[in-house]
Amino acid sequence: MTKGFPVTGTSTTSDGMTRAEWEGLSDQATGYPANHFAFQQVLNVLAEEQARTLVEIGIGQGSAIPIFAGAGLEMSGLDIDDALVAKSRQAMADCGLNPDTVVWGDIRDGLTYPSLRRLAPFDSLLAMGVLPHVQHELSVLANMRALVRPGGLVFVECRNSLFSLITFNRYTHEFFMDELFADAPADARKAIDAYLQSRLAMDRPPKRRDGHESTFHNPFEVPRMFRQAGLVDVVIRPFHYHAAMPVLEAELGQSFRDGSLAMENEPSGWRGLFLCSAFIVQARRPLGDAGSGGAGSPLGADIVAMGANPKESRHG
Amino acid sequence: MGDVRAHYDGSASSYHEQYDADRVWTNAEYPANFFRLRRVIDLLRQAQAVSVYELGAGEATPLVRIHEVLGIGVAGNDISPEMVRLGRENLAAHGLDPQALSLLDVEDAAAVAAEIDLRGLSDAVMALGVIPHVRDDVHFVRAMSAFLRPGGTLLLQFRNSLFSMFTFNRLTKEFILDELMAPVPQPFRDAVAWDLDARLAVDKPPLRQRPDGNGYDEILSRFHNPFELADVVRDQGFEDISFSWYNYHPTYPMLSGQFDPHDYRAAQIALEDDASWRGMFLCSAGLIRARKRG
Repeated sequence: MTKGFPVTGTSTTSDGMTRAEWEGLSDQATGYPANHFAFQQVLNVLAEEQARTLVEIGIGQGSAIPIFAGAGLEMSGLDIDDALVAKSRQAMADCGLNPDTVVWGDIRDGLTYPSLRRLAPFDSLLAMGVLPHVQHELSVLANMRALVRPGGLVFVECRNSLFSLITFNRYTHEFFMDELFADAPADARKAIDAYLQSRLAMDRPPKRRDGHESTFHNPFEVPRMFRQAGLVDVVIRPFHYHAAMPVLEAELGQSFRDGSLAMENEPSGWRGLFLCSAFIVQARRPLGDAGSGGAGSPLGADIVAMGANPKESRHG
Repeated sequence: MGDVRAHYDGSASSYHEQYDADRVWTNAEYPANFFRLRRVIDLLRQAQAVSVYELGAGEATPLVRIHEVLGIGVAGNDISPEMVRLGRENLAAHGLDPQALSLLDVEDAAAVAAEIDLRGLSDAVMALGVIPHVRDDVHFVRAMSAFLRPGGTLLLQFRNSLFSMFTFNRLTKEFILDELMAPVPQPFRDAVAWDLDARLAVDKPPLRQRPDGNGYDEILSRFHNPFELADVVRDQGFEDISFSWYNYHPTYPMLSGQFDPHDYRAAQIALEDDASWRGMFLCSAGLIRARKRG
């Protein structure tokens, strides 16, 4: 068990986040610090749950290690990229932690990470930027669930499809055509398509050169998927606010960054569903769950669409 | 601002037509209230209510229909003298007590208190098409609650502001600037307004006006955000809150003219049974169902 503050080691970030890093949140020279605001929420929940262990799927360069290890959590990690595993191991070592708890493996294939399984079950699991890139989501969620103890929590990042309602770009077109009007009559879809093509910035954002497009998720639909994977108590936690449409970011410059930072953690409870480009799905492996993947209990966010209490399922 | 009472006085003589099953395909306007009443009857049946009180009961066609289908006790009020006159005739014509319909303003606290003394508490209370016209949501929900026994069911209709997220017209602009981005500093809102003016049909929809100045868009007829309205209901002592959506639109309303009217209406009607999240955006109206704690 890591001792918490201060973590022994030489890393300048071993206390979690340095003051210089905090002061640099508004620095436009760096990418928008979206995960900072996701981790704020995750850390509070982990503290309330008195979690002691955390495994990060897709640990990457280990950027989150100082944050969570610095808060006293015993960190482990998994990544599919050997080079990133090496970087995370170095980050662990820099924090005075055991680098061997970061291993290579593919969360899509539960046979590829036996050493991580030997460390399981964990109190909690974090997966940033993983679910948007997998094909068989239920299978991946089942693998994640199998790594946490009964009663343990998973925090899984999703790209928010509802954000497309205010971006007025090709993502808006995709959301309208593929989600909102997916079942509309063919002639209606044709008319909507023509109208949207004339109104939206269809060339924004530029398509990736490698052709890979990550998947968006609808916060009203993901609870059903998590329930199917045997997880319960789903909470939607939006983050990465936008003070205006992304297309205006270049024009507004520094004020866009500052305005967006100021919006994070706004208290409405609903604006984040539309102004945030991402959300964390927090869900629990049921207590007393033997691991057979039960149906779970009825979930709030699922019922928002069918009709129920939206406050039970979203945190803005 | 036009007068709500006068607006409904002017609508009273033909108001029953929107509930007429034989006119579903021939009414000039989409008969959304026909589908709303169908949904309300289902919700009252599920609640196993044996009595219902309606605020803003109009000319009483919904109360009559509810009594016919469910056999439960009905009573209500309305602000429009003409609606109440026709409503009493309607009740009497169907063997019901015409005095079950009172003339009163739901924003008049003393009148509401007297009405509760007269009627007693009901198993269910409903208000369809009323909250768009009242100034104080909290006061209104509190008044609804006062008619309801503990454990009873509230059915509250509202105009859905989230529908504006997909209409691509001036209502979209108003929603984004005035609700979604309300806490954002003005320079951002100005930049967004400029961008939206280029993308949206801000000249639509046309305002619904009348020569006497009491058209629907000339009287107080507010939209409500379902998330925020649910908070109001919860804060007034309700739980088990759920939404039900109706008045579906298969395309942006402004595109409807491109289609055969019968085909368009058929697509609308087909969507009325959709129970997914889409109703939150495709429907211009919704119902909140909630149970009074007790």
